[in-house]
Amino acid sequence: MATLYVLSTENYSGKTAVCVSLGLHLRDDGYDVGYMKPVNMNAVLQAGRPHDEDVVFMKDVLGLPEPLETLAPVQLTAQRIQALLMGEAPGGFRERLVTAYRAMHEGHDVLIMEGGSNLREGYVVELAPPDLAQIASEGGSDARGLAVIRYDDARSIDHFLAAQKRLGDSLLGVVINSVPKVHLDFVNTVLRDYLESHGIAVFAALPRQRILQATTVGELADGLGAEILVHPELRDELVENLMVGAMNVDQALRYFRRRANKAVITGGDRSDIQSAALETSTKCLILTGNLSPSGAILARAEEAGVVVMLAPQDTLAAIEIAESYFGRSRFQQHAKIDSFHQLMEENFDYNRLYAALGLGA
Amino acid sequence: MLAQPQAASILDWDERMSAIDRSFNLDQFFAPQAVAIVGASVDPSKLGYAVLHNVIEHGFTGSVYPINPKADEILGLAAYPSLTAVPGPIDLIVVVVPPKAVAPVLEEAGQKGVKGAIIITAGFRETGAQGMAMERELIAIARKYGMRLIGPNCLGIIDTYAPLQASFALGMPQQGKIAFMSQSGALCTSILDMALADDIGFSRFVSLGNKADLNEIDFLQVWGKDPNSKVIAGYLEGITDGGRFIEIAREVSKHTPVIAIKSGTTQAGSKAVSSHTGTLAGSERAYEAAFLQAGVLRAGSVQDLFDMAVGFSNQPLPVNDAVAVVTNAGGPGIMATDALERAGLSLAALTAETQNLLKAGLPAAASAANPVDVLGDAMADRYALAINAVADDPNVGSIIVVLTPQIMTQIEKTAEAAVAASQRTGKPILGAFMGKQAIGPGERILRAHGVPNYPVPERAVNALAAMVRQKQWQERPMPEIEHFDVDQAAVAEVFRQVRADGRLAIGDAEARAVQAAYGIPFPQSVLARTAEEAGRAAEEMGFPVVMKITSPDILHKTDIGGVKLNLQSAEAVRDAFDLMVYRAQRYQPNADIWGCLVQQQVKGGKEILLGVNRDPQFGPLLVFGLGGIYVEALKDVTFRVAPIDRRQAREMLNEIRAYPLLRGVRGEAPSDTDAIVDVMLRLSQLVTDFPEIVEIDINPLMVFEQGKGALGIDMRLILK
Repeated sequence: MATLYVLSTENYSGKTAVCVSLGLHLRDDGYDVGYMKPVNMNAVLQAGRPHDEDVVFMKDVLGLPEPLETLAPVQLTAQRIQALLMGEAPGGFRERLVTAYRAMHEGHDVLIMEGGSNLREGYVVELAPPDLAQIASEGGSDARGLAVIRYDDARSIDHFLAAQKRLGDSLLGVVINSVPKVHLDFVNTVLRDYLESHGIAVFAALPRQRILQATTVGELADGLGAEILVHPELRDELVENLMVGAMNVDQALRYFRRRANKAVITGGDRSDIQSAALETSTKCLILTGNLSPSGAILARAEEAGVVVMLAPQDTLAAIEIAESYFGRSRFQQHAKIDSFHQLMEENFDYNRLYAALGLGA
Repeated sequence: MLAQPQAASILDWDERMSAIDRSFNLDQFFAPQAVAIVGASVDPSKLGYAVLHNVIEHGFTGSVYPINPKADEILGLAAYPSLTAVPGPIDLIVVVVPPKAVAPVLEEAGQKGVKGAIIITAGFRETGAQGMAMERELIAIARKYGMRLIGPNCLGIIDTYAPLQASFALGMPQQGKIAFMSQSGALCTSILDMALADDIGFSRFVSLGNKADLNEIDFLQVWGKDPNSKVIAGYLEGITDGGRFIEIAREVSKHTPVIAIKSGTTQAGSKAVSSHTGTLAGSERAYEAAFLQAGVLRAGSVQDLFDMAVGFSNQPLPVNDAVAVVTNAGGPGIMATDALERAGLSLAALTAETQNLLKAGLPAAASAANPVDVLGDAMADRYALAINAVADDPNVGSIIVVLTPQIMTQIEKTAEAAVAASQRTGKPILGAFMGKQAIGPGERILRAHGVPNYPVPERAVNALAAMVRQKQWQERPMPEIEHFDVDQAAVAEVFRQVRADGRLAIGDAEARAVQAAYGIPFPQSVLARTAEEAGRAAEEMGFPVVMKITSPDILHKTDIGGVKLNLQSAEAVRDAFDLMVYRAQRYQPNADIWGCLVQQQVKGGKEILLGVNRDPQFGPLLVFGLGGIYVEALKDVTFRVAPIDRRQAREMLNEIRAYPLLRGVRGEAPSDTDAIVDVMLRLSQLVTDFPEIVEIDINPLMVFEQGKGALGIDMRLILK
């Protein structure tokens, strides 16, 4: 049956999001959809075993019966590759992958295969994108590539052309993702025509959405090693902005009003700044220096539905850590999925995809 | 005593527009028949003992039920194991049990039909999230049974007329005409102690505590109707509902003076308030504007508050702001005169008749002009002559009697003379008997007969100034808010789109639609997406033009060179477009840049700043001042809480120091102030119609010569 290979040229371009949305749509159209991430070069160890949140999430969303080892047969870390090069670790990746691929491919109408974070990964274990395409074709169906490419400005054009060069005929087409609103007209007219005339099919151009750049309260708390004092149940709340409270209270209110759904970082002893933040659209207060706020502030936060967390760092260090989470956050939150799925439903050309994959609508 | 009831001068205020609920009373607290003390104790070191002791000791005539399952009898009264066990009905309970036991007590009280509860117990919202949840439970129980709550975390209440002393404060104040409420329980105890020493009487005394249910607004409403309360005073850290506070206070203050100390107005003070109450203190200027509009007199200190309250509770209001000073010492007379001018009062110009009367009755060396100096050797008869003469002078609105104790001074007799004059005339007479030991007996005579005495003339003047302001306030008509024909739907649509985009800030380009919908004029402008579009737009509107970078992510355009003035050709416009977009991208690579706003360049006119900043306590605070680059440094701005009427808008114009510039200096034509007022009123309506607006800046509003109008050049809004 059909295999759709979803790839990208750089990290955080929205690959997983596209996989989820495609999976849901295909399933709603009555297909039995499978998913796998054949090679993961950035595995995270959990209790000594490689663990991939995206895969766990997809298994859950699509209700896949196969074990995680089949959905993610090859998971590597830097240490693992080092050991491999030193001859201290067993190989056999290709075999493992072929077995997993066969199981997934035979078990489902359509298999969505998620590629690595760029097109240059996997060569060390001889499982780079061209190798995977070959494995797929040996397995009975061509893996057709769908590249998800983030658009920043006109210079992004090279990413599309690079994808075409690397994937050749196996590239089915592209999704132009995260297009700034101001460039949307240009992308939908000039760029689309340009790509099509160069043989690159455009399946969708998706406008940039703030919510997709958001991180969550829980991610921030984990990243900071912070203790949540109020509303621990709101870990999944999305945080779209980060602001720092280090001014006098009159300015604070004006400043905080300018951004919605934000996290505010301030000292635990700045009760005036904290109460100003609580007057505005705030998702969480990150209080630094391990200084607990007053009971009255905690009560007010409880009332306002705002998470309060106590971070061990000083304000400067906390900012640095928290900032690193914006725009690089994972996708597994319902609000994000719903929002992105709606965008895909409105913009993605499924007729063209189905025709290209040989599926009936 | 001269206490004349002050006629309510709200005749021009339609009763149907009144915000006050006339049927609302709190009789369960101030006129209960039966009171139960839940948690009454036999142990004199416990609050439960102190409260019961106070209720019994200070004359409560109704039934008193101590509730304590472990005692049979407390302070000679039969104790009951529970409220349910009490045979008769109960109107009011005072709760002094541990925090966790309060909710069950309220539940039981509700079932028994109790309508009022004073919760002295602490450990609720002031302690954190768990305490907050417990406090909410109390509110829910009270709502379920239609029971009203004072507290929790309070000292209790006192009513000297009921009489009921249901608090753990020491002693019982004298009966008086001052109703006092406080957000600090501890401050109450000190004030009571001071009041006992200074013979200051109260009608009612309430410690507000956490204000879970009843708050300052409720007591204002009820005390405004209480015949025993001639003045309402309060210590406040925050106000529960600022908009409603203004509505209620401005009606109550039309017949009963309202005085407030608002603490936490400095940076450090505001931090302390936040830590104490969990809320933002509210800005100093918002309080200033709100109190002004609500007719609330602001006291700077506890002493200031009682100086005023004592004046109001004992003396009638002055008919005008002219004051006569009668003194036996030159220096203090001059000090009084200085204080009068500083407080905005005037020294009364005595009529020829009065001056002749004084010349005839006083020694040649005395001064028959105001301040009237009866000389250091004056006995009571000279004072009597002078006080009565000035009191009868039609130019005099009020009198201050200054006395310094010389060896021949008849302190007590002079006090009696002042009292006699006070009882005869309808004008306020205040004493400034200066000293402590020698003047003591005289001071006691004054106080006993309702003539307040102040140890220095300045304090008497401050009290008088408050009384004059009160008089002016009572004579002032209620505001009449105008309504313009506007397009609310258009504004709602702009806001909807901005929100759909996940934004809160509305920049110049989008604000144009809001200006159009509310009739706030603006110069011709076009949002250009490309340099070519910008060039064409500029050619159509004519040169010179202004260009501004337009991006929801760039809040300070000028900081990044995002504004260009005086562009004279299409080529210059196209170049400016490219340059500004380039700079904006460099400055903020992720910014969503929509293009540039091309706008007709306005010539001439003066720059005005108009804006709104929603205050956490009082709501939309309008700001007006002269605009331009010096506005931040000069801080020549004035504030009001919206909505305002035409008179208030005019007053704002007059209040800024730079107002003469708008009237025109050195032969300059006057500016079109009517056009400014018009925009102010439309802005006032806009923020009243849309409570989700938290900020607006129109900077500048360019105002032209009389009759030529004004244009809002740059407008920004922030939504909640």
